[in-house]
Amino acid sequence: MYGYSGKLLEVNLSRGTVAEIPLGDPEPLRRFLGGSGLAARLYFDRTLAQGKKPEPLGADNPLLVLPGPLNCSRLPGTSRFSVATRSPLTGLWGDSSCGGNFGPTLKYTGYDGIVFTGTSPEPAYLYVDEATAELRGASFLWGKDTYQTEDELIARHGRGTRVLSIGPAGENLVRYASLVNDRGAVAGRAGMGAVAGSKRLKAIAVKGNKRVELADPKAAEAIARTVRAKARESMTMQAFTSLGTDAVMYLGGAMMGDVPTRNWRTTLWEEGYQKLDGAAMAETILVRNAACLYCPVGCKRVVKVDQGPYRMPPGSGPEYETAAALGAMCLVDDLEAVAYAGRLCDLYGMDTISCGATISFAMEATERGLLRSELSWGNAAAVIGMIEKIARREGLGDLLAEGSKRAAAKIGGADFAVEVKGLEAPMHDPRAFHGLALSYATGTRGACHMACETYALESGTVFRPELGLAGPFENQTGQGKAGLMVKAQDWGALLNSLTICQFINWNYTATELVEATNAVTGFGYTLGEFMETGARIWYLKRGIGCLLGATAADDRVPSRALASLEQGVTAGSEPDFELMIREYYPLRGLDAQGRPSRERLVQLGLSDLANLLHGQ
Amino acid sequence: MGAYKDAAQLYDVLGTLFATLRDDPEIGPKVQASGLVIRFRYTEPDSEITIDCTKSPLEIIFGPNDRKPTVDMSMKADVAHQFWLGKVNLVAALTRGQMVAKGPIQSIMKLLPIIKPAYALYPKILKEKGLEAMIT
Ligand code: SF4
Repeated sequence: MYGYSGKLLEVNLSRGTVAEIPLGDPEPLRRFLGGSGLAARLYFDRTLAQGKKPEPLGADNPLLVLPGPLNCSRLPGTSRFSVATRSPLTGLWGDSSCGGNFGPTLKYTGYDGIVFTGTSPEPAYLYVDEATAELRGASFLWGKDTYQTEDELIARHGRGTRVLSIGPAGENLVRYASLVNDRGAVAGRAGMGAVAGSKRLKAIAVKGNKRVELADPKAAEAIARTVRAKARESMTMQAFTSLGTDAVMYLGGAMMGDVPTRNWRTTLWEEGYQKLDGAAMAETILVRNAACLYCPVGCKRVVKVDQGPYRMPPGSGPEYETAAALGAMCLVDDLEAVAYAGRLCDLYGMDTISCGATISFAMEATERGLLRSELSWGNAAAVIGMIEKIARREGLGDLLAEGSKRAAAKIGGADFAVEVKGLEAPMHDPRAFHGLALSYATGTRGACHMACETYALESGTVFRPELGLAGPFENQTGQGKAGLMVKAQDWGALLNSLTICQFINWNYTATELVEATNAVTGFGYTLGEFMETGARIWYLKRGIGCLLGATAADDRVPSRALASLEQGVTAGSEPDFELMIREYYPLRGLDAQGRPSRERLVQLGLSDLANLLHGQ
Repeated sequence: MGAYKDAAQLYDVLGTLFATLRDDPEIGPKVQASGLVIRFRYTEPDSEITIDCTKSPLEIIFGPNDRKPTVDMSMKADVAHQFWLGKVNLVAALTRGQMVAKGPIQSIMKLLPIIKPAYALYPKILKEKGLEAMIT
């Protein structure tokens, strides 16, 4: 077996046991790869296929932590891993991709992933190295933030230890709690940290150097060289190195109308975009950039603020989504304040997108008299105060810790809570790129632009001629977007299963990624088989969502994010969502209830899923 | 045939655009403060414009010259025309190599707030010069 060690760890937190499970037959790996794809298969097998439907925060909801097959290959951008399970925010399938050094180090211990079940009677952490895999007490860490937790476990287990942990938000079951490694590499979306918290799993500490055999190391290295060279030449990659992903704040906001601002109500905030842009960061609070393992780009920011109310030592700085959610959405244009708010989210272990979007929702609810709070547009101190309260579930923070959908159900305002299936939409505006509306509506984990490559394709960041996506694509039309979406989703499912960085992936052609996968795994995919694997994974996740209760009615986008704005660069632009979804359903092989058709599932070897969805 | 009939017309139109930006009381000082030497190299028709912000007031130079550019942008003249009309997706143009930008990325990104107001100016300049037909 190449690219895999051939075994998982199964940790039963209720019993305090840790066991090795051999992966055995490589065929499931060829069919589901790793990361969120393999996680979906393992989840399905252990729950729905056995007639179980665990509550998200229930002891029987398995939590999966899975790197991908490329993780130890040194191919650029292959250091990510997935954390997956039924989401406490959406009640549906949830997976979250995370960078840093944790993923490859986990693989270097000799395991291809970990499955957690049960609930520990006391706070616990899992320690894994090449010789040991055991649960240990973590009461001394409970209540501590993610930086402190990481520092203490590294001090205990020595240099080279990598730590993935939850902060107080996860302990307090904030529904969008995250897991954090390497001081700011975050598995942010869909509340995976709350599931860890419900299991009283404070952290996982890993340390290892065990090699993983590659099928053709020379071929892998040749592709790695090509990709590194392309990344060096790429303007986008250069921008990410110098300015981080926040390089696009001004370009996106002022010139494309892509940055949701004041709870999706305007894009007339030019000065604000300029103040929050990566270029402004580079001239002020930036200390240096940082990179995930084997990344030649290093889009991550290390920032510090020396004085004033937002004083903080060097540590994780805001990437674009954070700057937009905690800045533009709340109309806070003070970069130091936004960086501080983002840092707090990292320390407490909370998704910055859901957190910023929920606070922005609460600002509007306050403005409309649905809520009494200190939250007001541009009030940085109130945003920061609310982050603290959410993490501790204090006062109004307790309601906002539930996310915007549940908050709106309680106080009203569903029409201005921009979420799909409960997941707050990320910081890209469908009025700038109409295909985003479809990707938000049909994302397998809710509103998401990272589960597929549509955004990069529509914005012109990448083109995929080998997939029939040569572009360029007109941004502001619904025509042709359904077909684009189907391929882009299958491709996205592959990326999240290979656990490759979606930015670095732009430097691989489709063929190079197939060849890289073959060089590591020896699977010998053709491009067609590779895409079929992506489709299989996409349908499996979609089917899990349906079995957990999602229907066609949930494939929608709130009108707040679709209705045209009167001013700004996207004035008058309104995605024709009805056209896109109407064309998409038959192309995707979905029935009127939103279920994948039996034929398509059987064709992809998912008969067991077909039987559960459609009957024997 | 391309948008500009020859290099002289390109120099006339884009020269006026850059001079208007230079003379604008709000934009001009920002361009000057960038301290950049920006060279635009066009093909079809072959032509070259350099904006030297190291000189005060900044200089606009037509044709090849020996100034050392900090930022070097090359493209077809047609792409430039469409760009100033606001019809080119900058990211896609860079990805497809329709525009090639060289120089410190930070400096290039800092040009964006300066470039943006020019979108509104460009069609006005074309109209003033009796070139409405080019606004398509
Ligand atoms: S580009 Fe950024 S997120 Fe991607 S691998 Fe590199 S540092 Fe990590």
